[in-house]
Amino acid sequence: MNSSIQTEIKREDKKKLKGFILILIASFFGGGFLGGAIAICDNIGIVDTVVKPVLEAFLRWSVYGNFAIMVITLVSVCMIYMNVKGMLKEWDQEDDIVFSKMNYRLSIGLLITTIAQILSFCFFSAGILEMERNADLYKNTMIPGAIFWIGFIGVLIVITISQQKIVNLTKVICPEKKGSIYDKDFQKKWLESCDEAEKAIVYESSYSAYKAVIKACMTLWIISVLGIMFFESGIYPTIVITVIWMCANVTYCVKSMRMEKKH
Amino acid sequence: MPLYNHLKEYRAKINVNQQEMGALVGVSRQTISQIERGDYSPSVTLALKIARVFDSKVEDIFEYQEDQDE
Repeated sequence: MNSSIQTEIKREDKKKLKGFILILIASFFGGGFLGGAIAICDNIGIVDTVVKPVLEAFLRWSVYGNFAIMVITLVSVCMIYMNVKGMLKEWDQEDDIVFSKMNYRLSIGLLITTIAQILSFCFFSAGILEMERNADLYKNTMIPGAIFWIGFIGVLIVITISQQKIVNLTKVICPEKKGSIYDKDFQKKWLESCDEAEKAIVYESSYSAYKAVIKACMTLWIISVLGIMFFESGIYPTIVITVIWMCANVTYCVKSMRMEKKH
Repeated sequence: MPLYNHLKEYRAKINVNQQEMGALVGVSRQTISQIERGDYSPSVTLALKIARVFDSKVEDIFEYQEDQDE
C-alpha cells in the first residue's frame, strides 16, 4: 500500500513539475525584463522626470491627507449609519433580504474605517517626513502644521466613534453579539459570541487574508530590491517586509502545529 | 455537498420564527436562515440540537442526496 501511495505522489509531482519549471523560467525572464526596463527608464530620465515628482507631490500633500480622510470617512460613514438605522426602524424582524442588506452596509462602513485607519498612519509618517525635510518652510507658517495635527487626531476620533457606532448598531440587529469596542479583548469576545457558521466565515476570510499578505510580501520584496537598485531606498524596506513575511508564516505554521497536537 | 432540509416546515409546525429558533439552539438568526436556504450545512452537534427541539430524528429534518454527477 505504501509503494502505491508513493507512486501516486511521484506521479502527481511529475505531472505538475513541467508547469512549475515553466513558471520559474518565465519569472526569471520577466524579472530580468522588468529590471532592464526600469534601468532603461532610469537612463532616459523617466525615473527623475515622472516617478520622483509624483513621490514629491505625494509627500507635499500628505500634510493635508489626514484632514481629507477625516472628512471623507465622516460623511460616508454617517450616510451608511443613517441609512441602516432607517432600514432597522422599518424591519419586521423576519425579512431576510433587509437583514442581509443592513449587515452588508454596516460591513462596508467598517471597511471604510479600516482603510481610513491604515491610510491615516501612512499620511502621518509621510507628513512627518515632509515637515522635517522642509522644516524651514513650515517654520514660517503654522497653518499646514495645524491642519496636519488636527487631521491626524480628528481622523482617529472619527474612526473610533464610527467603529463604535457601527458595532453597537450590529449588536442591536444581532443581539447575541458581545463585546465593547473599547475592550482590549473585543476581538476575542466578539469571536466567542459568533456561532459555528459565522466562525467558519471568519476563518475562511482570515486564510484569504493570510494568502494575500504572502503574495503582497513577495511583490513588495521585488519592489524593494528595485528600489535599492534605482531609488537608493536603502535596506529598511526589505527588513520591514521580511519581518512581516516571517511573522505571517511563522504564526500560521506554529498555530497549525499546536492545533494538530490538540487534535 | 447538497444537504436538503425541512427546517422551515418543522419551524412552522411549532410556530417559532428564525430568531426564536436560533435562540433555542444557540446560533444566530442568520445561521438558521442560511441552513434553511441550503447555504450552510450545520455541524453534527447543531443538527442534533435542532432535531431535539422538534423531538424528531436528524434524518427526518435533513436529507443528504448524492449529486447528479456522482
